[in-house]
Amino acid sequence: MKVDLELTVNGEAVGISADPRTTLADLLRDHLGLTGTHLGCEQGVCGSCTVLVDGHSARSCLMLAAAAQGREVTTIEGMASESGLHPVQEAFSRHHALQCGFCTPGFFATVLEMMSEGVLADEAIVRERLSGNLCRCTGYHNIVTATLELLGGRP
Amino acid sequence: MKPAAFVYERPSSIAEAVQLLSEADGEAKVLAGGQSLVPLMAFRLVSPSMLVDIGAIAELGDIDSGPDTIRIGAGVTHRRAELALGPVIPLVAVGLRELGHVAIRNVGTVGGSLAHADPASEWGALALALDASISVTGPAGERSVGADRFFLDWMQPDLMPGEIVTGLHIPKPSSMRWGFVEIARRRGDFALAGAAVNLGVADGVIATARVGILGGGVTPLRAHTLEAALTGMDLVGAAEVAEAVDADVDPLDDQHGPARYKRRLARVVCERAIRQAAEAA
Ligand SMILES: Cc1cc2nc3c(=O)[nH]c(=O)nc-3n(C[C@H](O)[C@H](O)[C@H](O)COP(=O)(O)OP(=O)(O)OC[C@H]3O[C@@H](n4cnc5c(N)ncnc54)[C@H](O)[C@@H]3O)c2cc1C
Ligand code: FES
Ligand code: FES
Repeated sequence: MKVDLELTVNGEAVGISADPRTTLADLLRDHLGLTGTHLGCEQGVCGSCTVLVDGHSARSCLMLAAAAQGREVTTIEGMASESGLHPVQEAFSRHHALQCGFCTPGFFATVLEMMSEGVLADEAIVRERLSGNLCRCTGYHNIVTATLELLGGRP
Repeated sequence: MKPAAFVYERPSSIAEAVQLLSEADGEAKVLAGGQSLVPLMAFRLVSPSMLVDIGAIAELGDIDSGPDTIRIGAGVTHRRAELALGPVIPLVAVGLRELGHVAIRNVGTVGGSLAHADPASEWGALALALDASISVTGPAGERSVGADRFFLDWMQPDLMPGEIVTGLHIPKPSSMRWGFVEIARRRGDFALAGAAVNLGVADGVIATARVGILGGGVTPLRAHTLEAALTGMDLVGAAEVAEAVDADVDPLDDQHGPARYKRRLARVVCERAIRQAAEAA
């Protein structure tokens, strides 16, 4: 038995019917073709599937699509605009804060939430807040630098 | 890594949820934040035939602050509780900051943590240290259980089939000295050991002591022996009796280390948490 879902994804209303066991990540990737949301561990640990739900970071691998009923989901595909890259994308690019890019969409969700909360540009706080996102390439240093710059601290 | 098929229900009231659960004969499970249940289902460690999603039940989402108690609805997320209770009971906020990461705390709920009853649950240790009680509604009506009677055994809360946790009631402390310390392998991991300490102090002497331990055995537990040792002591220097916790814990061997190592950690976290309580201005 399928469930009928209505939610907003990157500002657009989506009406879709899906098997209840579909996770939000699988809905985004397999049903909506938004493959920028990456699946690493599928158990909540790596953070690569992190998206924003009603503006708050959430693991899309641990949320059933059905539980996202009526909510507003923002993914990496919703960031860049006609006029160019999003400031988070610019900063990560400028500071070489990504290599393979697998973890990057998840980091962006975490950083966007920090920016909207007005988190202090303090390295210890930033490192703690980023600790839920694993990156196997960069060693984190440049990600921390880019994030500090975005939060208004000196890079 | 994908869950087996199930029937999905999304009731809008507690009564409706209880009815769905009781009619489903124990095959159904409550879905709250899914931060523990969805991975268990993805690994196929559990395969319920029905999920009753309590996420749309508005009455579970409130935080009410009364004159003597704070009631946190079962559906309140860890993150909301952390932010709302920070100014009132800082022990809760500081303890919750050790629970997973913000993205987990944004979705996981108070009721889900209590019902999951992991021995390393911060909520478990906090509820014990704060003398909180848990309200439960089921086919036979409502009841309230003290936190120190709620955790029965390994991942086994005091819940009958069809019962759901509806809230956590924390008595408002008039004045307290507190400490919270935990040790985990990595930031956000489940703790190897942790302690939540709540001391009532008069004229520099500890009048009442409540200590909740996480990672000390098969459930979150109260350190009765340590509490007795602390009672009547001068606050300054009280950390010296931390090793009394030895009699309270019975840690398990697992892939993270042998029991004797975790026994040692229990002493360390208690000592540090008591010192934190003593040093707080
Ligand atoms: C990477 C990661 C790290 C984590 N780290 C920690 C940590 O350090 N400390 C910690 O404590 N937790 C940790 N967690 C787990 C997290 O706290 C979960 O939020 C919590 O254990 C369960 O809450 P939930 O709302 O997600 O419940 P769910 O996952 O939806 O449910 C958990 C269980 O409780 C039952 N249940 C849920 N709500 C109710 C209710 N109201 N009444 C009756 N039964 C109910 C469900 O049927 C299920 O059996 C972590 C999780 C992840 C993915
Ligand atoms: S894929 Fe979701 S946290 Fe790793
Ligand atoms: S850039 Fe490769 S995992 Fe982070």
